[in-house]
Amino acid sequence: MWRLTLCALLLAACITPARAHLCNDVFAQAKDNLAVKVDIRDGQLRIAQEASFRVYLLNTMDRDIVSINLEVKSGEFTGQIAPSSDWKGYPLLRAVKGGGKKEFFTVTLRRKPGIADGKYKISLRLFNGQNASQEFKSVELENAADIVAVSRANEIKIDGQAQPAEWGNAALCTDFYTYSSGRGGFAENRKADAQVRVRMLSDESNLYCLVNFQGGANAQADEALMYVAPTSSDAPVAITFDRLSGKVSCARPGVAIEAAASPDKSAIECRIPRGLLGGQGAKAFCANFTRTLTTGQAKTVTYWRGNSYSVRDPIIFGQFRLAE
Amino acid sequence: MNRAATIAAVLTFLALLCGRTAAEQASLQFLPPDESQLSATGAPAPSEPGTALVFGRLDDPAFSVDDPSQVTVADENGKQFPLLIEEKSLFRDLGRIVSMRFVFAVPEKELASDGFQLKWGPEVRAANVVGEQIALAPIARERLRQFRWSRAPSSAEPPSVATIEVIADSHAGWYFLWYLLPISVIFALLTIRKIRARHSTD
Repeated sequence: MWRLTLCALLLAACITPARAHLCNDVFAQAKDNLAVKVDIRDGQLRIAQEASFRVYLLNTMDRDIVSINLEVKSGEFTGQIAPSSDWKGYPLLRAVKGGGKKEFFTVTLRRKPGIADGKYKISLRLFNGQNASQEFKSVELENAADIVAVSRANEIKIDGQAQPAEWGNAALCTDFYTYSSGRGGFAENRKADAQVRVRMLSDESNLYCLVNFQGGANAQADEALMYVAPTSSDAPVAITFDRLSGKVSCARPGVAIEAAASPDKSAIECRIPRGLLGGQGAKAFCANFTRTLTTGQAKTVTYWRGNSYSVRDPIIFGQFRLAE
Repeated sequence: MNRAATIAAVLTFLALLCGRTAAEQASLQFLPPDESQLSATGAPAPSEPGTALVFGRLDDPAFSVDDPSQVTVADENGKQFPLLIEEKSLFRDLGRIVSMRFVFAVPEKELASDGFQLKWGPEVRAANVVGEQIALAPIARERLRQFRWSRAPSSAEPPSVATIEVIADSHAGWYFLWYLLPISVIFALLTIRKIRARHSTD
């Protein structure tokens, strides 16, 4: 009898970690590594009586979330939430590491009676379905959309001599993070010591990028990768900025990128044809960035959005809206 | 009319001037140090009995100054604490400093205060010192703290992040008709032109 009990206990011990447990480290990780994105493409959601949009979730944490649920926080609208029909195992949100994929809720906002025409803010709250008081994260709708406006370029010269007059009004992407084991033994995001500052501008034919690298003085290799996709449904294409050689190359053959490095090789300017971003008529594209710095035996990878699981799926990327 | 336009232009100029020169500020929090940030190499940071050393890296996306003296830490009474800034940590973007690592000494009894502010901008003047490299040896950890800042977004920042608007609009169903307007105008003009051409041949 005791053998049977022991076997049962061992079996339970094996199954428990296999399913995600909802202890504090899950909530700590969710803050940075539970990606939440809304699919509102034109930057506005216009509601007569009701309107719908999708909220995508991608679990890039080191474990599954057993039960996740969503609510809309708004004084002016009621929100009806429905998980997608092909979300297997809902409310379980599997980690990408364990074979999970992006899942989505469809949110239908319905205007409450007596609400006047006007602009309103709403936020999204993700919580433990088994205990609504336990919150994974709460995000404003506009943050979840992660839209960056790319201004119009004004006579940019690709000469390695970046000037404030050329790049002063460019969209800036910085605040890179490392993803590593933290104090509690679980994965956490920590701000990178060696940052990257990527600036972007565009015109009818090209996207212009200025990539400025911090640190890496004794590096054997130092590369920034830019992943671009015309839409969140397309496969991303990688563009490599090699700081040490000052060269920029594209993983897609036949894409001609003109580039020039600064004399001290800390920054690279380049011109990328907009054909890579969906053509001249495209109004927006998705992008994410990483940097891999190799010094001696140490290799450090830092990320702009998410972690190594996030660079494969453009739904996690920033959405860059191009100037008309 | 000209007078009103002049007043408006002056007010706009003054508003822009205020936006440009207003000091940015952030609240500081002091936390136990991250082990990876401690190193025994470089010149040791000065510390006196009864004081704690607070260190960290300031690289807020909105942070940029022309000179290391344009950054300061002040307590709730406005008393400034001189910073020892690590020269090798200074990172410039488009000619301006956008990241720096520094250390400053705070009386241990004031560590629990939440009134410390980080300020930067062209009108800030501080007696900071720039040292080649700062060493924070992993000894006397109880006297070491790492700072973290939190900042409310400034209205003077360039709005590179676009916003989503949730608009309650009773006529949202008709909104798409605006897209049809240009093509309708073209069709109308073509029709008028055709009718006129017919009349002229008649």
